[in-house]
Amino acid sequence: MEEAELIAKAQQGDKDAYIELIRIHQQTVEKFAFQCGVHSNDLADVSQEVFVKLYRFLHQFKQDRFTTWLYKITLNATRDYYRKEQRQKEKEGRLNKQQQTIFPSAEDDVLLFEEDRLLHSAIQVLDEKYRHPLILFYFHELKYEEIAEVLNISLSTVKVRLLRAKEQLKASLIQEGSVENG
Amino acid sequence: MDDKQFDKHMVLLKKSYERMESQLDPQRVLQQIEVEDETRESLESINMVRKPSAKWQKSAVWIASIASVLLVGILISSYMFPPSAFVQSDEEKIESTYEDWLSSLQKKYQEKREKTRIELNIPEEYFKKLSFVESAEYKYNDKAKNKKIVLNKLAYDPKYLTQLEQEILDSLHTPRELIERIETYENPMSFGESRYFFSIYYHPMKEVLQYYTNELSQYNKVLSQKKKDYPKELNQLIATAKKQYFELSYDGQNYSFRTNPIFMKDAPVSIDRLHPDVLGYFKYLATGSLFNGEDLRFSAEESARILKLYERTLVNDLSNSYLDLQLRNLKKEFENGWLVLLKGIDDKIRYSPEHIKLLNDTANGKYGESMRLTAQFILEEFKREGTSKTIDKLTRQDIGIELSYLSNEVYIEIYDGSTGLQIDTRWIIQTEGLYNAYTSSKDDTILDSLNPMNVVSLFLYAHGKGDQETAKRLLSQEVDLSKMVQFEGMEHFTILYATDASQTTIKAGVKPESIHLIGQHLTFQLGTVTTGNGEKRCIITAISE
Repeated sequence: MEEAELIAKAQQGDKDAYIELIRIHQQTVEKFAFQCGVHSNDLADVSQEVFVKLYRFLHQFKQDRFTTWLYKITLNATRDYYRKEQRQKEKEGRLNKQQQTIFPSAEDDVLLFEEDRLLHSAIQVLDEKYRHPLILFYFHELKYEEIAEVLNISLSTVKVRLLRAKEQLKASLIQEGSVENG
Repeated sequence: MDDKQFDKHMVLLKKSYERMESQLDPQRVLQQIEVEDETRESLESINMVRKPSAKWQKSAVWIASIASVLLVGILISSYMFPPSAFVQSDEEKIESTYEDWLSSLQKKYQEKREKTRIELNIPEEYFKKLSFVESAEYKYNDKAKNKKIVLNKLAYDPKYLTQLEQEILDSLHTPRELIERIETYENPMSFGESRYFFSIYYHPMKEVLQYYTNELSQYNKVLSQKKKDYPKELNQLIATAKKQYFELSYDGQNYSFRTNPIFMKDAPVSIDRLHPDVLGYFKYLATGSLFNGEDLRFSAEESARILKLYERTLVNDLSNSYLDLQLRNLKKEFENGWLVLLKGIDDKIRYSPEHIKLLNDTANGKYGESMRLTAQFILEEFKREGTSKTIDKLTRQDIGIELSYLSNEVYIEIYDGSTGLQIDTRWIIQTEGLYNAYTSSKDDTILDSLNPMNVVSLFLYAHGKGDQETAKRLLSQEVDLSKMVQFEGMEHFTILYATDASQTTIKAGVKPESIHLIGQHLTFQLGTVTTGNGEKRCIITAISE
């Protein structure tokens, strides 16, 4: 069944069609959430929230903009997740100031190579206004226009932010010595 | 690292991401949806039993409102009490809270409305037609009084009543109150906050201003007389307007009121909290058009100084894509203003010494950044051929293009949200022009007009060229140039950015391939010295790597 047909059926309440839609897009959502900074342990929960929200708003979607909406909803879900994480960290910090924060190493299970992990970490350090266009451009192959729509920014801002993201990432990689300075 | 290497790394990481195994079980999504639906339906049926006649209670959204407040209580107590009795008492409680709130709001609303009307001294028949008053009226009648909508909203946001009340009463603020509320913002305000502030200030201010200016028209004959001869009613009008930070203004043809809460003598202190990049809007409101017909109303220098203020606002706002009416008007004014200044106005006949001085000052950055290169080209052509083709062909669009270039390519956001200045080929050519102008004339007044960014730029250019004499002219005596790393050319640097609003610390970011030579960045501390002719000149007081 074509995706457009699945969307139409899901919009009419066909739950099997919706499950099929989830199957088509779940990897994209999980991948994007992970790239945006969601820990791999929490990916299933965040993705579940995304698809529940998507279902609630399904009747509003126009088919040609389905993927854009999916990215937007995922982005919002990762922001909510990040805010919760921050609150939790602050709470933990207050409870035990002496305790050092230990970052989960679950990424090791997802990214097998050291170089990938370093690059992934360097991307996480970027400000989100640079990180998001970079992720959408390099890992999701979205066009400038599509990135502008997902992030609700102008086309020229997309270009400038991508350029800056690239420069900052290069500088950070060279500084970390994670890649050769060519 | 070149682009090819970078892209290769990204492709490899992309492949690794694609190997990720999906963790989500789609059935769990459906289960969560079904559980949510069942909870919703059971709550709906409880409410249906309780009051079947009220249609709005069937709304799932309303049910969610009860659920959000009482969900836990309902789930527990449903095993212990008859559900209808329990929910009904809470519904009554919510309704009673709403009625109390509405009654209190009604009193506050009427009081605030009348207080505003009296402060503005506008008769009711005009006052009620002001759109911000109409807007408050709409919010009060159609939002606050609509019980159904309010209860629905309350479901999602327990603070809704407080927020709605605040929104309604805030709609009735006078322009003075809006200006004075700046002290409730953070100090200093970000550009976004300042821009938002301007947008909420602009429309009520404009309407009240228009009313006072209309009132002024009946005094046209006496306005040209001495102030002591003004009738009592006119003095009262001027005093009432002044309380709103409006000033009486004459543009050579007509009298009107202009708002000037920033630059007037009695401006509130808290106004300094506004981000400097929105001041162009306030300056434009205070100044009005630079033109009287085709002539400039002010001297060329004064006009250029005003345009410099507009440039900061336009550069920042254009990059944020706020192409609203005020921005379009400001942009048009900027383009027309520079067109006349660069082409030469009446009192500065083209290529006269005054016109050439204005072009020189423009090229050296005294009046902002956008027109520097254009002024430099004109001067170079004039020196070479005694005339300039650039001037002949110059149009408003050319000025708009320079402004867009500055906005999109030169001023760029850096990671902490502030703005940096990209050192690209154009910027280097501009700095070269400045360097040549100084070294060929040794005219220290050129250095007097430089802003902190241009001082650092010129220093980097001179030092990169090995010209210690010029570089030292930009440094205080305490700075030991011999200890500074030597580099060739300005091309090693990628960006200049200030770490504080007053630009006392500027960092020059180094290109990745030059980090091993210079470090990640050079940090410049800046201060001022008073020169022999009493001018304050910006100089570098310390450099660290």
